[in-house]
Amino acid sequence: MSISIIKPGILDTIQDSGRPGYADWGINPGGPMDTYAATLANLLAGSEKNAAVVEVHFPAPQILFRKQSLIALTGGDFQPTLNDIPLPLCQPVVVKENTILHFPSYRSGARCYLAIEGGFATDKWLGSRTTNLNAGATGLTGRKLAKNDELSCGPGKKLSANLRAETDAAILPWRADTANCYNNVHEISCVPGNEWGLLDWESKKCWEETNFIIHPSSDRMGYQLKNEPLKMSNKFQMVSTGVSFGTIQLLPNGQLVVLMADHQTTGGYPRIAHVVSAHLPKLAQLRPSDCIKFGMVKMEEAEKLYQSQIHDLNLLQESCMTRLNEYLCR
Amino acid sequence: MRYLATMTIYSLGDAAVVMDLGNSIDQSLNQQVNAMKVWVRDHPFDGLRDAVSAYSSLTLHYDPLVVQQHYQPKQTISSWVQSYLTKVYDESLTMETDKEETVVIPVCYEEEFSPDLATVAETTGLTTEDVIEIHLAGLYHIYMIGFLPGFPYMGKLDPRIAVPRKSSPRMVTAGSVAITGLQTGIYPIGSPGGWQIIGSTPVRLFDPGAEIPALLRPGQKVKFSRIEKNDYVNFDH
Repeated sequence: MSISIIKPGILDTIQDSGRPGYADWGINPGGPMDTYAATLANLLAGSEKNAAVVEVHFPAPQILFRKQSLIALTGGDFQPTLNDIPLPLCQPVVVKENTILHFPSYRSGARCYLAIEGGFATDKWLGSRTTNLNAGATGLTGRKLAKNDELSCGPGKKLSANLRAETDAAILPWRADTANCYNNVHEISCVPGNEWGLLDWESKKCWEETNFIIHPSSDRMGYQLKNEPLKMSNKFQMVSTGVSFGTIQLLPNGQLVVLMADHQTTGGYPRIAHVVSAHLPKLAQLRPSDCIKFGMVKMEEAEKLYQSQIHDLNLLQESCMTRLNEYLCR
Repeated sequence: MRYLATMTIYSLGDAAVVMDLGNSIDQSLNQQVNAMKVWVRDHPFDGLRDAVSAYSSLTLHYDPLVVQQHYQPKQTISSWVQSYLTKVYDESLTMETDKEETVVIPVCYEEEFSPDLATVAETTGLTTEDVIEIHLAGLYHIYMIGFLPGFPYMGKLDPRIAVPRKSSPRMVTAGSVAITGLQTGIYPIGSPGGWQIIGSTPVRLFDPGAEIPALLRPGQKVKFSRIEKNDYVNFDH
């Protein structure tokens, strides 16, 4: 086994790139809340970009590394330490066997990702290792991590075998710059939803000019937002249609909900807007009582933002591999 | 080509598009949607992640980067997928659709399995026996699966037993057979729910360990058959 959970956090789950293709059975694709951070963690740890990672929330778990491993932590900053040595985010680390990862205090963000070289090799359900908390699947595809869970990792490239950790944590000397992805973290761009035009003038003004606050009842299924109630200029009845990660629905009480990674497959409320794909990672790192300022962009712009984000990740993938290989041959 | 005046195509964010044939609960529109989905499954484009059918709409989820790389659309990626959907609609019009079989679901309507049956009877001014008979008489079309894994949205229910949902949801056990408005459904797993429970089926609608976890799929027909408590308890899975 590669790691053991000494003490679980409030919500630690296994996430890979999700389980698309089963909406006909009412099973949603799930996947990490912050796909950018999850991918980045994998790249830094020398894994495939879709490998399974552990997504943790604060209070976060204590994890024992049973053998030497190449790991990376990305996303929310919960001040990680390894045997009391502070660990940086977005930087590969070779951890020695029998060391303990701990997240003693909260600093920023909402979700932190732990990747390990080779990826976590938990059982798959319907082609994916992603945890689905409401389908009753067995093992870690159906529940959060618990005390004494043991996880192994895939074979990977075994880069870590050549990287001897002389200390408990050997922090490798390169770091990914994530500023492009997380700049202006409260400003979330959207494209208009099909029912945007049905909002009355005052509601559109409220959307454009005021901040929305994330309500404490928000979770991996959706973010409940709080603001002055929005109104439609006409009464509009719609039947349920497909919905998406980032869809912003107007509830009957005039409040908005943003559907997140574990959203249901269909929904029947008016769709005011959709968060652009490139800003979902930012949104995933916001927490209850944080505020959001929405802005509307055109589809062209949304697509460009996403392409440029993936382009950045592709460049990072190349440089991560180059740096790791160089480091091994030094 | 036979276009519907009510038909719309629109983007659902930058990674999904929807074709809605008429924003209504209508069996023929739903059958058309299912035909479109079959065509999409047989002729997927590179980058397609999922095709989700609902009452009168089909939603395609896609990976914008893969579509961009494979098809290099001149306009937006979204408009490329929207034109693909228009083609899907045209192609589906000439498709021969398989006749879907009818699935018979045994239901026990006895008191301990039907906590809301008396309320439904009271609201509608019928006897509980009338409500059961009317529910049993219908042949229901599965419009979509959603809300919970394996939850079938079925209709149309006889308007004589149409009742609003409960004012606040409560925990509902797996197998509960429920009604609201002109719809009937079955809770495949325990969950909070607001529909009125009038019976329970011993049939397992969702089994995550099975190769095909959901018993029902959109487009099928469902007929309920009445069983006694004894049959319910001794039901052979």
